[in-house]
Amino acid sequence: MKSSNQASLNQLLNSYGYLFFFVIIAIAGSIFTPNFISLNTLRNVLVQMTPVLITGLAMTIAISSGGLDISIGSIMAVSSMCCAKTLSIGILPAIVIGITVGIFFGFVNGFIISRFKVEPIIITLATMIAGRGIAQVLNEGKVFIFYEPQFTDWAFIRIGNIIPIQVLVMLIAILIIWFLVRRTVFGVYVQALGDNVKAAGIAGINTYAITLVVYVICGIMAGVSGIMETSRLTIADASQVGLGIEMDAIAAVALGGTPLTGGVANIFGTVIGCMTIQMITVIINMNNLSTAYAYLMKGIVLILAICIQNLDVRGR
Amino acid sequence: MLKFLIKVKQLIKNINKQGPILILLLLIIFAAIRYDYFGTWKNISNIFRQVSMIGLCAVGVTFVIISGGFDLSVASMAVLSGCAAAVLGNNILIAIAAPLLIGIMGGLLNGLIVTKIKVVPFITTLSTSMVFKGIALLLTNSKSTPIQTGIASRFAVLGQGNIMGIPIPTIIFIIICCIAVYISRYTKFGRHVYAVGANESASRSMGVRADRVKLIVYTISGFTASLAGLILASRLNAGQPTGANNWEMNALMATIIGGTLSTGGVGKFQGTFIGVLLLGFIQNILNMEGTLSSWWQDIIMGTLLVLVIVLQRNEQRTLFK
Repeated sequence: MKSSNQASLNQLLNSYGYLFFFVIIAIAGSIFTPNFISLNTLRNVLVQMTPVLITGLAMTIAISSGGLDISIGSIMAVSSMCCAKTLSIGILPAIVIGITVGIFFGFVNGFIISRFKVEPIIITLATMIAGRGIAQVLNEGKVFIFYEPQFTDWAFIRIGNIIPIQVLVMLIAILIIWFLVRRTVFGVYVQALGDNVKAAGIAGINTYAITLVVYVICGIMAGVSGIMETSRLTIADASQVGLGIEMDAIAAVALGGTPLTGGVANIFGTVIGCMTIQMITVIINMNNLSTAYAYLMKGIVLILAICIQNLDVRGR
Repeated sequence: MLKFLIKVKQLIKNINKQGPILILLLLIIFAAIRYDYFGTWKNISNIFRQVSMIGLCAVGVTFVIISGGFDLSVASMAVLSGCAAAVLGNNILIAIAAPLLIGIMGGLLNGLIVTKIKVVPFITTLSTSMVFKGIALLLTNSKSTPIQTGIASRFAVLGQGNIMGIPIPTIIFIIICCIAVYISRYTKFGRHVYAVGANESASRSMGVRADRVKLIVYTISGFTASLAGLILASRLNAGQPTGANNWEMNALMATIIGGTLSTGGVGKFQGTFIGVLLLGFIQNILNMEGTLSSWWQDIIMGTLLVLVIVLQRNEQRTLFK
């Protein structure tokens, strides 16, 4: 009897472990941090987590298809630079160009991965390194400063004076990705691919096309978040935009209960995972502690979260 | 005509195998003709001094990748060991032994998490890299910390000194490379590493203690990374908590360009050595050219990585058909 209880507890932790850590950190935050429970804190968490969440959603799809995309940060930098440089033409064309750059990089990734059967991490490593170089070369390694109030004011719009515009964008992104994964054939195929590529291929799924689309989605999302960052920071800085964001996104996906081995996509988990990671940063900042603690906390929480989610697997 | 085509095909096949070394040779010839300064001993030894740190990391990473694992924590480990040398080192013995010990412990921790808790290597080393970096920042209060004055001059020899004109970091790097080649080719442990990487469950059924092999492999990686960190600290005369930027990616890139398969089981340390040298020579040539910004190095290396991988895969597919 005891063992069956144990098993069900493990299963519970396995499926809802991400909520467990979210709650613990939220409680810890409200105990140790003055002014933690306030609208302002929530707003900060939400606005700051936008790029990680948007790329994290795409990363969830990539990881559930059995892949990985570590070039997201560099794609963000390139599309941010391209968008900022073409702002003089007009805001809409600049945004379109930024997203097109994302699509292009995603296409390159997806094409090489599906055509040559290369491990995704290696090819995206190449685009990550080359992409950061391209972004830097575009403006000779300098920060690009532009003046386009219409474009930059956009990031500071608040709907009804309360909700930042980023929240709306995030909600739309979450809805779209959730719809794709849960309500379309594409989502089923992606997870089938992550479970067993060979079986998926034999079952008649066009694995080439699906892989391609997965990485193009990653590119698009990276482009969108690159443009949003440019508009929020009001500059384009090729060395800083999206730096290390891929690792935060992967951490958020892993925290959210999507296994790195593929086959399962937990969109809601990724959202909670992002909030957990961002909350750690905000708590450390609000307590005026050094970033060292943020690194430590993130690392330890990540490893503990995966341990808890693995209890079920290890028992077998 | 057919004979000719077959010959061309064979030639291309051989180019695939020897690709990186050919590119390296072409680069050296090109540079030697174009720049007078290139061939000087000072320049060559400088390149070797610069690459030896990433090279050391790459040796550890190669071990881990051959065993089918993954190590993202080498850069953070290098940073941590450099900072530890600066903060803890009040005599020369501690300044060298403590960081190396920390490296071994850190590698062991990675190995334990991977083998005992069965977390995917990618996530394990991602989180431990955050932890190591956090500890390094804590140790140094997020500031660059100079090596303690009593030992600074002696400690600097490690990174800046020469023996018979050869930089000491290079000597360390080459010795570690030779040991790695020896281990991988002529010892039981080396063969076990390949076996575990190629097929873990099969190697287990053959009686290989896969967990122990993995544990040792991650420990080696931690050790070489901390050695690289020591050299960095010695060259900078300080423990730099924000140093070693992107080393883990560069080490990985050198390993893959050198022909190690990222799925494990296949790889040579000679290849990694060539990959590391390629990194250094391309950087050096770009510096000499002067008109191109150093960012082109990233673009060129990225493109090269794609090319090497695509050629490698083509060859494999024809092999398995």
